[in-house]
Amino acid sequence: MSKYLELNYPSLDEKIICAKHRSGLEVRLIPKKFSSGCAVFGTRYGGKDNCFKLEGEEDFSVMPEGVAHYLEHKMFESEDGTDPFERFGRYGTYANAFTSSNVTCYHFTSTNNFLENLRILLDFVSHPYFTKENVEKEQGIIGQEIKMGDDNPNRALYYMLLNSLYESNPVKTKVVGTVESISRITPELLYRCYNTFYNMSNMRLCVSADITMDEILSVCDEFLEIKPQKKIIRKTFEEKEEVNVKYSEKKMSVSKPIFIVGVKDNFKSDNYTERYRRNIASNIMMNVLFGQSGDFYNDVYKSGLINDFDFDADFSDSYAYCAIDGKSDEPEKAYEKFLTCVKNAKDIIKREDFNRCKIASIASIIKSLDSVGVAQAEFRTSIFGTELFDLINLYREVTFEDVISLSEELFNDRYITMNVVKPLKGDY
Amino acid sequence: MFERKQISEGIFFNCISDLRFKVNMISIKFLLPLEKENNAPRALIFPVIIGGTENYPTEKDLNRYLEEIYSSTVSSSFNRLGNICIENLNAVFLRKKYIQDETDVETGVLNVLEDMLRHPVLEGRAFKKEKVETEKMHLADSERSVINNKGKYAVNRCMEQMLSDDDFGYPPNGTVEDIERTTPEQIYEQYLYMLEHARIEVFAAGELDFGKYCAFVKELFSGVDRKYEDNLSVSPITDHVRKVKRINETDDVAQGKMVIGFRTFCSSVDDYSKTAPLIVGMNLFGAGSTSKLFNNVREKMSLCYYCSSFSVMDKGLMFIQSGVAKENEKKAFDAIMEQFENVKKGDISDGEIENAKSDAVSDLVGAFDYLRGVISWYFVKTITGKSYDKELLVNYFKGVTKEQIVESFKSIELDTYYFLCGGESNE
Repeated sequence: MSKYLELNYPSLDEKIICAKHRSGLEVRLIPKKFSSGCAVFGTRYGGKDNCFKLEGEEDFSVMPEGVAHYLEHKMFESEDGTDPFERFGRYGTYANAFTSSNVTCYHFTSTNNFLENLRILLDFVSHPYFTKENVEKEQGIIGQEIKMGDDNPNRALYYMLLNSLYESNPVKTKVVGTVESISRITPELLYRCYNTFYNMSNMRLCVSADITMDEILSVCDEFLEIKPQKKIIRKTFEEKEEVNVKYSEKKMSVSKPIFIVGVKDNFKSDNYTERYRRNIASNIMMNVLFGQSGDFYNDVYKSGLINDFDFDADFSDSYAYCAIDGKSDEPEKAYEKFLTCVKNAKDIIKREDFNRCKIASIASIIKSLDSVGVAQAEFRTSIFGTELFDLINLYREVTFEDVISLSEELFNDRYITMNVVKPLKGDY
Repeated sequence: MFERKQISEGIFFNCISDLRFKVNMISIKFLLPLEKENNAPRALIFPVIIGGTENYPTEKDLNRYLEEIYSSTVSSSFNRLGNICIENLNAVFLRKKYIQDETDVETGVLNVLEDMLRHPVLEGRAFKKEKVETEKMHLADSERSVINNKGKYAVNRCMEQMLSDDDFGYPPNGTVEDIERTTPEQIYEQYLYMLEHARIEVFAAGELDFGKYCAFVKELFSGVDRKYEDNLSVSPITDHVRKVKRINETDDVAQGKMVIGFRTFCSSVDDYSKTAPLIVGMNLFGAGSTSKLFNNVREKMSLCYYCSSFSVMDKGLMFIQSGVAKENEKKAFDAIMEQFENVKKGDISDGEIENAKSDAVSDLVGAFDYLRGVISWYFVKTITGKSYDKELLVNYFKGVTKEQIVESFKSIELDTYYFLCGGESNE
């Protein structure tokens, strides 16, 4: 009998071992017998969390855009001058980090000396070292990262979508910030953010490797201190129900217009599993309507109305939306076709198609579990309180009626926005 | 466990038993000499074929069936190993133990593959015109839209200039014009030519019955009148650079995109004793976050967000790519070349060498944790005539010395410099 909580999923041949380290850190282990092992150490802190305070504090701190991402870059500085990349490099370990709107993650994949690599990870993420010089040095590098993003039409389109969907939701904040906003970042601001969000109770460590929980926790003992747990209060915002902007467009160097249609979902719940359940229903609904076995996809593919057609249903703790995107010489016509489809969604979605898409969705998830990369997926779900393999049960629970009623609720003109990036030249 | 069997002239079955995965994978590969004039029709064969068969006439019918058999996928890709063009038809499906009911997914997938290769939808002696026109439109669009990704566009432009005299430098799917003038008859001719003349390497990996798959492969090509000739050649670049090319172009970009191409005179067909030092040397020069380029051009000089190398080992080429501000063009180029000279001079620490060796070993070992990586290893070794024993290469990596790295870098020649930046358009 294991001394840790074991969640078993016999039909998947998988299990998740759960433990809470005495520092307050929740740890998850998905055992896998591959040559590689992967660890993800991250915090529920991303590009949208720019206005916050700790319980007991009077005023909210307002941070410049891009500070979470800047902090992620600067975590690779150490007081003794050692470079975490150099330390990982000794073992040929691939290490990296990323910041999204919702989380910041540090991760590695190694093929040897897993515990030594885990030591490096926990060591550098738990020891910030910010000075005026090292903070200033990063402005050139991140400035170029921002410029690289400016040349990416798909990224431009993504932020146009978020701005069109939301009037005040901070998810529309650019994760990397702007050249101007990052120029206001100081070591003091970075320490303030670090001390708030890099508290173990706001973090999570997820591992997939051929290793035991005892071994992981003993490495945690070496580096993670017991500090008072603090409650973080993020400033709440009022978001209107309808979209912020019905239509937006921009010109860039692209071969033909690219577009994204977004549908705002105003679903509210503090229970993350409920939000997941909603997202899964949205995914199945979008799959039936826009997937490769449906009429919409096959019509636009055959006629060439849309190239590189794709669809998505995204969500987090404070937002949710569905979207379709692609390239089209006639984006207005593509938009009209979308509107016609969603207005008739109730008649289009058949029980047989729903059942087939549901089985296919579950099979796709099982197919995606074949690498130590599951540690990343487990982090993304469990930091918000849902274990990865439980998603399969949530899929099984979604009913045809759930999807029909969702389509009736969502596909309303007030919640739909169209966004286009057009070429600089040509009659578009 | 790896087993290889010749099924008939130029047709081989390769079986990799590996029970670590939840899926099985099949990859049917057709190999022909690269001929640039045939790039477009060949690139269109599988997109047309996987869009419908006699049993599943439309893409929608086929996709529905594949979803029913537990989201099995059949996809195609068209790539190259040096001057060998490779048409791939790939299938991935769940193993039996992960299927909750009696559905025979494996048989379903094998039937679909057979149907695609033996019973495509035809109109006389050509593929269906309507389907061909749709695929031509999508392929041409994807060629035109390379400009949407400026980094990739810059790499393509550099490679085209570098290999202007070699079929490898020609757009892999043909130009937009080639695609537009391709006819349903030409694609069908190329399809027949492929079945009759190509070397065919079928790979299956996962939980498999070797005998059953051998029989499947035999049956799959049983009606084909084979005219196989063993004339494949990777053809790495062996000529010296006569004059360095320098190309500056403009577009509406916020950040300049720099690509520098080199000839290495060492390629996938060479012995491990020659390739291992070059791979370790390229790692320490430009690959990853412990390399000289990352530490100096990015970290010390703050000139860029990315500055890294990648290689096209089959042709014996190395590239550096970086996104830099227009005003820093010269500074960045000089900094990159300074690091290149430092490797040639042997200005390399023991730590750098150890890191670079560990990287090479990790990349190799880690690739075996993916079915695709496992298949790729056995496939490339088969074509280049190398040992299948990965420990052999691991030992070569571990034994690389500083002198060997310097030696391999001394042979490298700068070939082409390309810079794309904002400014007045040339048009």
